[in-house]
Amino acid sequence: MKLRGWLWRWRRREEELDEEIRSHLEMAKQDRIARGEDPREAGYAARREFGNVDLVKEVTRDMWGWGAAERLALDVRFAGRSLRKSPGFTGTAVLSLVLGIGANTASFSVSEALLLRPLPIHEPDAVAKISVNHRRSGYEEVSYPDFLDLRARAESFSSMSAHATRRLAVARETDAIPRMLFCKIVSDGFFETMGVQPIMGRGFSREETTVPGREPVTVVSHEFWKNDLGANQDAIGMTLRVNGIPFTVVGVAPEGFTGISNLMRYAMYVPATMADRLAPRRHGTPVIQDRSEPGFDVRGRLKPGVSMAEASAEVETLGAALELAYPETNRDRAFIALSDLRNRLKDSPEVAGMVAMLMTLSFLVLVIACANVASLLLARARSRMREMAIRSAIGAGRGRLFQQLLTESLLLALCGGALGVGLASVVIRHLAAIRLPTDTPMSLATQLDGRVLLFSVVTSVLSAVFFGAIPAWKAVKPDLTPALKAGDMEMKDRVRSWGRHLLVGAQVALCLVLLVASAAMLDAFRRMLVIDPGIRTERLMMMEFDPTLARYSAEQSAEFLRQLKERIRQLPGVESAALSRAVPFRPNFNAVEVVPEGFDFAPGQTTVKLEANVVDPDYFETAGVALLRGRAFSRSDRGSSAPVVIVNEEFAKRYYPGREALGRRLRLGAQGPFAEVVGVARTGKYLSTMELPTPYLYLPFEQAPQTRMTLLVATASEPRLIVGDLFDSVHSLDENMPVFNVYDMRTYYQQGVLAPAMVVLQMVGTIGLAGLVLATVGLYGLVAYTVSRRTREIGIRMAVGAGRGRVLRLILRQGLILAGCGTLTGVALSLPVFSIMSAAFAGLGRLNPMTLVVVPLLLTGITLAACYVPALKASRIDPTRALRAE
Amino acid sequence: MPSTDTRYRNRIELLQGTLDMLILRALGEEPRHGYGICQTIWSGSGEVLRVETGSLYPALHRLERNGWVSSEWKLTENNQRAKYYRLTPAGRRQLASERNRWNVLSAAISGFMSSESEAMA
Repeated sequence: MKLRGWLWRWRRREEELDEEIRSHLEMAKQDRIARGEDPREAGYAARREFGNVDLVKEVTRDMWGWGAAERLALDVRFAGRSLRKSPGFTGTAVLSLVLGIGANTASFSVSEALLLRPLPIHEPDAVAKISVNHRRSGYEEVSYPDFLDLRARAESFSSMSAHATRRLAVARETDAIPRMLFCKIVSDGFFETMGVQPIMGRGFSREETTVPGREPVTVVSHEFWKNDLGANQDAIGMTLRVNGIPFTVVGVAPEGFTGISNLMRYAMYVPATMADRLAPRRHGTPVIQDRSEPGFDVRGRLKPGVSMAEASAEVETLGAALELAYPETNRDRAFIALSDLRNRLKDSPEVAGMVAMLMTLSFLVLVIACANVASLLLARARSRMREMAIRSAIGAGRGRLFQQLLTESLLLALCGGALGVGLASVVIRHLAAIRLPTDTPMSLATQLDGRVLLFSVVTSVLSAVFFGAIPAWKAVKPDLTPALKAGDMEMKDRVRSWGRHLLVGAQVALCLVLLVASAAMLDAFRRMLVIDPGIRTERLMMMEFDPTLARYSAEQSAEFLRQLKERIRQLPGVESAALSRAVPFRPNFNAVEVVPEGFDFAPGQTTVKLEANVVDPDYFETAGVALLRGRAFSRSDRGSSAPVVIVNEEFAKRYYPGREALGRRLRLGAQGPFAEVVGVARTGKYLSTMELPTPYLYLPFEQAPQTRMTLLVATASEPRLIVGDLFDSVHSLDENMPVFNVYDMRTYYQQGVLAPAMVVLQMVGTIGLAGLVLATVGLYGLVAYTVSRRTREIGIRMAVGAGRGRVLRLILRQGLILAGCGTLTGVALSLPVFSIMSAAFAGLGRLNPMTLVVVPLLLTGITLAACYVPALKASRIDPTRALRAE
Repeated sequence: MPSTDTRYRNRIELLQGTLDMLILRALGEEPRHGYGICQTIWSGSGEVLRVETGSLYPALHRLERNGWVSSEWKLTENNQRAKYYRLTPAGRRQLASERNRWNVLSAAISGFMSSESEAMA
């Protein structure tokens, strides 16, 4: 309301001023006519006498005593008017900024989703992640007894809690088929540490979280409450069957609290004391009393005024005391407290590398875009020199002029920013629509949230300062007199053209770095797309089981899986079937410790920790994993027979260097039994197609039985045709058996592995292309402008007899020198940039020498083309006209 | 129409405060519009003082802001709408004090100038 009133007053004042001046002119004209002048002439004369109407208006407006806000509004209006007056300039500048800011916004949104977004908890910065840095085997989580000891003694934290992820089978009624859901087992104080309050009911009390196995209570997530409990207001007190045990709902977590992860959404929280009733452990010790089992994610909320470093120092001291008190379990376990972001960087360096890469590439695009706009503004400043001189002659202060020009830059940047955000939102929506093929509720949650918007606004404003400040300063700085006298300042022109040449060179160099980096990335991803994953991806169906969810014992589970597999093998259209613990490209959390016999360990190291799969005899044939030497597991490898393993080639190379691996032995576990290597499999890709060759182990299902297994079914034709038959087979054995993660391998591989790579590929490719387009436009503009500045000189040259060819050569030579210098600088710069990149991103491989040939040639070609058109124009100059032009 | 050169040669630069005083003086007898003020000062100064529009209008708006003049839209004798400025009581007091200041100043300057010419002679 207030704003509207103000706008109305402002409008009226403007109109009055207009009318006042109009009436002045009219009266002056009438007077002249009365004195006998020709009416038309009189009008012109009155106007001439009056002077520049716009300027008079402007200096008069300045007397209105506007506050800062009004002055800004005036400046914005003025800037808008002056930008509208030169649509070519405005269009090019805004388009450059749209690409630059759009690329950055999209990249930032991806970075947020992958890495940077803070946890959805209260004051996430105050929450530390406490983990163990094991001196020999690296980072691990914390055991529950260690957590209790730390919490009892630490003084840096106002609260501390531990939690761990479990997949639990949840059903509402006894007879219903349970659903497999990701849940958290938590210590008391979990919700306090996260700083969230259940919206209904309560969190867990201390008593509920101290005595093992006593309190089957649960707090459900908001999502679960809404979708599974129908947002029932009487949800508190309801009973849910979790792994067959009746649990009472005591609370509902608030919406938006997804439980200490941005990617996963946990369905419910149960006390850690229930962990062993939910899933009994083989060797009896409850997990919350087992100091040797580092399975808990521990977080502590810092007391006000305590820094992360202080907390970490305290935790380290307490950890050292634990090491002394429990040497058996805690030897080499050093404790450390990290911020959540630092923790993520440590956990997923390859994600951090990818994020750094995306941000760097898009930043380069923005720098090129800003350089474009800066050079456009510089050129514009020249043509506006006289305007500036007049304005400052009638008393506009330099500060005011500077302010006005900067407002103009800001307006440009904000326009570019707004459109850039629009562009980015298209990309973001596209990315968010990608679903990974897994039952796990996770996705790349890119969104245009407040943080992303803030980032774009800040980026826009900073770029405005970056590209606008120097041209604005240069524009208001020059001495007035020569500018008013018109004509060029030949002397200063030399200095000026130096600046322009520097800009051209820098742009070529930056663009080269950008292109080399993008080309290297593209190359890496292209290799990834065509890489052989080392597993069959066609005509292979997979489905996952865990019979314990239907309350089978471990033995019953194994028997069920065996029977199911035999039944499915008999189905028509099935070539073979196999059981496998792991599915490639999905973490299976099946790490084993082994001691290869005869291997010389580094001092202090006694075992090798690596990922292993548990498979049955038909796995290698069904999954198409080639065995290079030896044999697959056989029916005679039973629980009672001698232990056997199959290693991959990388394992053989690394741990039995120079010797034949077949027939050698390794210990399973530090003091475990020896197993004989009976086969060597080809090294495949296990977690990511970008990974370097990784040692890997296969254990026979009969000797290392598991309850959660995936059944792989190789078919003669389209695998999805037999899905119905597969389900019939399952239900003929047990109607209530839950089945999950049913995918055909091709879909799984394309959507789960290739699609995310394709996204990055497209993004990097687009960013590279955007950079190239921007640099081309910028180069063309700059060179064309430089040539146009030399019109007079060229005119003189031609007047004294230089031929057209010579002028053309002159200008092309200059372009070539600039391109050459820029290219050399760019090559020199891109080498260190590349080594930083490949350090961050293991899959990058080596720099393709072709890149270093093709990219510079391309850029030189573009620069020359950019020179050629203006050069051709210049060589057609009519000398007399050129000399008169200025 | 005089050429630009003579126009500039004949122009007498006005000190900032002096312009305000001239405007207030021009409004002393009756309300006038901007063009009328120009004409009054031009003819009243024996066609010596020409007020530039680029100085006049900012000055008028400044005086109005200071509360020394007020304005209203009226019709001229030729039936044209124009913005008329009139002196406020505060403006009258301001004119009086400016006039005093000017009298003291000009007497001092002319006294000094004539004494110098006598000394020279």
